Amino acid sequence: MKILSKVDKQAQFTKLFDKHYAKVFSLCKGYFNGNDALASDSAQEVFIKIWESLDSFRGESTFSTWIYRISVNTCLLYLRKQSTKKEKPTTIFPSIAAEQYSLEEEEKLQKMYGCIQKLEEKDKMLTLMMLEGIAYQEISEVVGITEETLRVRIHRIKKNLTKCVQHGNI
Amino acid sequence: METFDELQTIWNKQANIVGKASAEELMKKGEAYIKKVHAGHWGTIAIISILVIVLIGYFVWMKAYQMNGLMIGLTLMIVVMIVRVILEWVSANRFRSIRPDISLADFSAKMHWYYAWRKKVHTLFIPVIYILYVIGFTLLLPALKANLSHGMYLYCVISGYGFLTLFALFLLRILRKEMKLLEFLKGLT
Repeated sequence: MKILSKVDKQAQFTKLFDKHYAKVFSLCKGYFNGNDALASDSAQEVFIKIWESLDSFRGESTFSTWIYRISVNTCLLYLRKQSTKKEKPTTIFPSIAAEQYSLEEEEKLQKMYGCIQKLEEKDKMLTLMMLEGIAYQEISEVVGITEETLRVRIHRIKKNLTKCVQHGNI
Repeated sequence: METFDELQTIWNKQANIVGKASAEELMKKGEAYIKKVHAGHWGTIAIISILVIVLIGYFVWMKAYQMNGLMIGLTLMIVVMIVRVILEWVSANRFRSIRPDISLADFSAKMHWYYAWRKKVHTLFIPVIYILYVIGFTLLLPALKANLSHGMYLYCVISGYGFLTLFALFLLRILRKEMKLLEFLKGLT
């Protein structure tokens, strides 16, 4: 394990932040049903943990896998550990680029968020990473299942998610 | 009839990133968090240790060893406090040993292990500690009655039991919260 000087650590962190913040934010936003405030707070917590753990990064995985692992684990427990936040991520839908969306597309996006919330926790994370375009091999390393199992699960999730957006149930 | 690819296209069109923090701001928060964790850890240990020292001081000052009820009461209170410090120390170390950068499957299993330990602490160790502490306090009362004015004695009784009642409610709240978390983690592992 290489011990970083403070300057190197700051430079490394800034690089990681610039490269990965958007994806971490999107993952958290999907997990919290499109709630921007919760996504922003939890993404910040992810990067605080990254700063805290940067010295202990062992290089056993890529930086992106390492960051996604921290993101998934942080989002998973974020709301449940907040004693003061009673907010449930069920009512706020994403701020969308309205000019790019038709009403029908907007409705479908909201349905997608709703359908993702109906999935089991692990499947929810898999789905969000898949939608964010993260490679299957990386998702399997983040979640801790084989790539083969992942492909089977994703095939099933895609089918169910499409069905859910069309008919409203999984 | 749409396909998943169409849903993916809709998903990709979203406007994201609201209220982006700066890297500098998060580095500062990260440093503050590390300091807060260390301060909180040592602060808790310091507060409970001071309490133990005060109790031991009181024990010596009152020459409690000459009075049986007082001696047993104070000894009980001191011992259970020390056990409580050790339990918190063990819990904090166990929690810190769970790295956030492991796979979701490993993380869920380790958090489940941690909260199963916390369940044991809350349902077994803490009630025993609490009962022994109440017994210790109750054993002190005859000595307090003999040595203090009636008003001061009443104040000690009411504030002592009042505090213990509130503390029990507080412990129940923590127990409920941690058990909810354990149930959630059971669903993951």
